[in-house]
Amino acid sequence: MKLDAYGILGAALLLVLLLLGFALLDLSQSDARKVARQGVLLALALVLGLLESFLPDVLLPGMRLGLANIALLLVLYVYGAREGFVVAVLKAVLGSMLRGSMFSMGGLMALTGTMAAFIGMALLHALWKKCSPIGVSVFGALLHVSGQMLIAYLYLGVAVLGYWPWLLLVSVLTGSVTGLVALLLLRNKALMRYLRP
Amino acid sequence: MPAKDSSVKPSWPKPAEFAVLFGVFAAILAVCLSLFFLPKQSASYAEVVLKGNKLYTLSLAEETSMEIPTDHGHVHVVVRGGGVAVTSSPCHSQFCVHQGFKYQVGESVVCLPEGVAVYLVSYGEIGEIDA
Repeated sequence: MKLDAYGILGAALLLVLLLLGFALLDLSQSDARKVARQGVLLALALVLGLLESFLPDVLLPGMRLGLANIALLLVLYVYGAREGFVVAVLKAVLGSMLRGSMFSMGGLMALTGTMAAFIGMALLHALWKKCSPIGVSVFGALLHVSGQMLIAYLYLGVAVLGYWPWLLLVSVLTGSVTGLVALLLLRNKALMRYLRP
Repeated sequence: MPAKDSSVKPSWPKPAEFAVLFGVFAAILAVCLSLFFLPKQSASYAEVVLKGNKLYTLSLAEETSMEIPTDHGHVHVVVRGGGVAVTSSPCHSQFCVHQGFKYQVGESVVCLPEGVAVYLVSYGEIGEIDA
């Protein structure tokens, strides 16, 4: 396995995020059932992320639906930003491991996109409480693409910037779809009874 | 009857949110359409970049062909008819190959998995050109 500068940077960033995530968690107040439910949502995020890699590209090459974001939205709305942050980091780590791109530029792009999206969604959710999951999801999708584009720009230079507006355009559509799915799930009483035992 | 937990059950988007979403979409769409339809200048040179390092500056007036060595093989770049294209690449998606020839300033062909980018510029954007 070749470890280049981007891989080392990604590994270092990952370590910092994991440490930050566990520092944020208040384990003395954790309910074992709640942690188990969060684990289920983490597994859901990983499976959705793997599944969509088998689906065709959405309008543009390399563009995905972002189905894993549905699980992150559920964690954010049901359990809060702290727990969601840890799930997002673990999703980025484990997802990269499953794809075999952990210590590479691809892994760094995935990590940056996921964290930029989640932090943005958490901030928007905290600051604009009346914003629905659709708006939060669209914001997250825009930040996800922008985070990945930032890494691609640092990697390849100005040549990649021409794709950015088109990726943003498609991400508004994909974010709306995933946000709608998350909203419907959050309004499902049976699911909410399961997630909040 | 237990009290509803309004902090968990989100509501449907309000008109203000719809307005913001539509505004964002319209703004991005306007940028995309302007990039697509605005007239562009024909390019004079193509800069070939590998993992952020500029390797070559190719004149589009001279037909040429070159192999860029990458981690997984070679990316084949061709200059012909005033344009530049990537004609073969070891990447899985082959997006760079499907882009075809590019002729105008600001256009680019990017192979992200191999770290290769070909970016078209005009004469005025080039500093010193090797003779």
